Amino acid sequence: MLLELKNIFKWVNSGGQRIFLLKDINLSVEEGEFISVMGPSGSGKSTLLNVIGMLDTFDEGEYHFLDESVHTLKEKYRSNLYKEYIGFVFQSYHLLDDLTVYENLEMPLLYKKYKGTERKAMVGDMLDRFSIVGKKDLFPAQLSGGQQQLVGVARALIGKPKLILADEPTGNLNSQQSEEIMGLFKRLNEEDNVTIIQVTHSEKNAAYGSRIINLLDGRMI
Amino acid sequence: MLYTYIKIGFRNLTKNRFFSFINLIGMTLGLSCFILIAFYIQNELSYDMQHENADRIYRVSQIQSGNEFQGTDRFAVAPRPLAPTLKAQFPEVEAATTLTLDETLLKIKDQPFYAQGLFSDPYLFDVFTYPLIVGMAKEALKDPKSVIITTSLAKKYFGEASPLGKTILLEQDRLLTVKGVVEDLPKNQHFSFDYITSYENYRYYDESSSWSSNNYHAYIVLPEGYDYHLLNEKMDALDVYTTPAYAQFPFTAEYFLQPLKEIRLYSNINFELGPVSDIKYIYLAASIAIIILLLAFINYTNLAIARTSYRSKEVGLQKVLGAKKRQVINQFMAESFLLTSCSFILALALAFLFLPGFNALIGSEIPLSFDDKAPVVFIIIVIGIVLGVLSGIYPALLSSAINPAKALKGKWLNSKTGISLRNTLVVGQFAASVVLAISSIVVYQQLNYVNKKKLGYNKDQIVYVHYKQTDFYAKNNVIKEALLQHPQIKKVTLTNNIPTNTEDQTIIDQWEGNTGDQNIQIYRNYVDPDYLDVFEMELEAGRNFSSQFPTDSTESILLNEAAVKKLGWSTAVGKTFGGRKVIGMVKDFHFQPFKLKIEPVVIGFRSKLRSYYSNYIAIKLELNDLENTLNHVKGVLNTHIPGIPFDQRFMNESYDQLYRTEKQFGQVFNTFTLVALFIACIGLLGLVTQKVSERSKEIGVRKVLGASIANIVLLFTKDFMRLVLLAVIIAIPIGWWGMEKWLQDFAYRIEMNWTVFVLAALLGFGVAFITVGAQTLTTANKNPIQTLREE
Repeated sequence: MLLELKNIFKWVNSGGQRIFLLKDINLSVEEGEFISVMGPSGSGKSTLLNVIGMLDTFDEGEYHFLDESVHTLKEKYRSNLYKEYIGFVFQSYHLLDDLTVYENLEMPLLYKKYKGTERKAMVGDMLDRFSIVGKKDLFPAQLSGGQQQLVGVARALIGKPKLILADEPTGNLNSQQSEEIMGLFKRLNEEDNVTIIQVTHSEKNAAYGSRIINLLDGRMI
Repeated sequence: MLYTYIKIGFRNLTKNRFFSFINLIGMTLGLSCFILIAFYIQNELSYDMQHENADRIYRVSQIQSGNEFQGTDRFAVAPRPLAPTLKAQFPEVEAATTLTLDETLLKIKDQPFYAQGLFSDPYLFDVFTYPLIVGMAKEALKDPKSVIITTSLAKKYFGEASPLGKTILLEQDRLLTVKGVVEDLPKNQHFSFDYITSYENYRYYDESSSWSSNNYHAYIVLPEGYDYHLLNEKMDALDVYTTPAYAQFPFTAEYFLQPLKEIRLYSNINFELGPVSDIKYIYLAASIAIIILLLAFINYTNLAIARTSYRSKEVGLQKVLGAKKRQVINQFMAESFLLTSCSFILALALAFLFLPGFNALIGSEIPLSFDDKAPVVFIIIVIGIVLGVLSGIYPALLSSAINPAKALKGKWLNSKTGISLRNTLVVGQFAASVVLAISSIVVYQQLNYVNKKKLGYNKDQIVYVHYKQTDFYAKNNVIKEALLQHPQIKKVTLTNNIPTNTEDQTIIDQWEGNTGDQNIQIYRNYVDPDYLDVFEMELEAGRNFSSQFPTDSTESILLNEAAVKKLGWSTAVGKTFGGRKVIGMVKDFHFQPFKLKIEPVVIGFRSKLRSYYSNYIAIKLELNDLENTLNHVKGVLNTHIPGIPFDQRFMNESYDQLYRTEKQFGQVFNTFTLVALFIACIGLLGLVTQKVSERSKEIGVRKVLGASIANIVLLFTKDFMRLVLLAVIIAIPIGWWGMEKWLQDFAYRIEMNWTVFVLAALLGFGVAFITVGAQTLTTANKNPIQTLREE
């Protein structure tokens, strides 16, 4: 088992009332799964993804990730944990505008203390794998949206994570670009056994996954 | 509409309290400094201007080529015949007066006190304007038995009663009748006095008036529009008097005119009547004022641009709702105006509040009144409005150009806007701060050096009394013995000069080995045998004066090393100099400020009263139970010389006085360094805040990809450290150049080394690091999901 959420609650207090963002979420994810999270706006999809990604905290419940009890870990250990095992892909890519493709890919490695030669090899490997060697010196603004997201996925993968969290990865892309990215996810999942959890609005994209989770008002239905 | 602008402007300012607050502080601080310095400059420029003929009054001074004294051969003095001769010989001279100042002992109703006397001929009032309150002016000066006093002196000693007809005893032997009262003088005059009387009452007045006896000062009035350089040349005709008068001297005197209004700032020659300043301080002050004002207003612009990025949504919405470009500009201008006027009012209040402290800091006496400053305040208001508009207009234009569609999406027009301008500004601000920091450190080191350097004499545990009473001299030995009775008093010496104040100089042309017509200018002092012991001076060769050698009092002298060196002697003891025998050579000691080199000194035996020179009792004492000891000194002096107030001073305090200007210079630099650093930090803060807000997404991305908080803080500080590094690189040569110029004034000085620059650079880096670090830390600590939230 890769991770397990048990009775997760998350709420905010607003005007004396408790508003639940997540309500009694129970979810276990095996390694190699490809899960799609669906639901209307405000149903808690992104919140759930953030909780799984350890970027956000929750108020009640237990979260186990690879035998670690996340809910008891201190912030510092939590961030070490996600740094090590989780890669993030964003709807608006979040590439750094001032860095080239190469530098964007290299950045996560800098924070993981890889040596220069190792970094070079890993970035080169990733450029090869995604066939973007020719674009390595370009800046994000010089790429199309699809290409930017390609770099975004490559960046998420470069640290060899066990889990990829993607928040509407195709939300800003046209249909052809969407298909390419989803195809990529599928290959990664099947060939490299990378676990993927994606948030999506589209039934078509959700169909790429092996399991669909539906959320409504913070509750799994 | 205006009301709405101001209302919304006010709300905006209170909404962003932090920004408004630092903005207000920065601008208020800058403006207060500017106002204070403006007051200072106005005060300096107004010296001696209250005289009706201020533009036409000239002082007649002289050059004695070859007679170098304390670094210059120019003297502010004149012989008594000079003014009357000028009036008689040159028709363009409308009026001419001879005057001199002296601190004298007065006695009113058995109450003795010292007061500053102005001794003059009756023409004083033809030249200067001293408004008379009661009595008579010119007439009073014709009668040597009359005196004119100032209002404050009258109030102090006669109370509310009319002082006219009352008597004042001058120097215990002359009874003067008060004939007039003049208004108190403003402080901004190059000389001041408590009373005026005829120069016939002057201590050194004598009937015969030689052209080479320069005990007076001469002032004349020339016609409107007359070029005084013409008279300068005509005065060469006075050679007929000076040449014979100076026949026995190796130099002669040439007269020149100094406009009255230039004396305070452009003169600085020997024997000035009061403290003078230098125009270079005015320029320095003006540049500092302008720099600080600019820094402050630049900051305003800087912070306003930074805030524009936060406010793009607001502006976008205003535009969508139909606001015209001009209305957006007006809104921003209203805020700028509001803030500027607030800080201006605050700054004006602060300036008056800090004026006494400022006076103490720079040693000035700027009055606390508002009336005389009205024109300056008006000018400052105009400058304030102009700068307020200028600093508000750029951010206003920037904001009004925002595209509402983009702005509503939270995207600002262009993140690069104004960045290079603002980088430049911050570099400039830090460069200015680092230059000031370098100056502070160098001034501190030089003063430290002055304090630590071996003076060649001891200035601690010495109390001295300065006296001018000639009848004192006869009782010297009795007083000395009486003083020594006290167990805490170790040694006493009677001397004509103390080492902090050696003003007596002479010219000697006879010495062993002088074959031709050589002569030497040499400082001179007359002492008793205890002098060297009290001041702990060391003998390099020979012996001190001694009572065992009765001939010492008439035949022997001591020379210092500098004198022996100048004479070209290898040994001195046994040789003759000025008709006397050299019995010892004293190690060089600093009897002048460190700005001047140690010059030749001859020390003679004090065997008779030399009324022309000052007289001192210097007492070496133990510091425990000081009060008791000082009371003993007072008691002894009062017993032997009753009815005369004595002023006991500590030698080390007088020594500190010598370097007061330098100390003030240092303090001023410290203060302005702090102010400039503070303002620079505010500028930096504005820049950092904008950068951080622009890059908050990037921070989020980096954090999600594994960056630690330290990584983020470092990333930002590194960028800004580059700017500070650039500032340091610019500042070092400027600071080095400026301080090298300042140090050149000292004959004894430190050499600047690299530690100064490293220290100043560290200060700049440290302050910048803290500012940037603190601001970045808050953002770096934020949860990235807040900054990365998808719209």
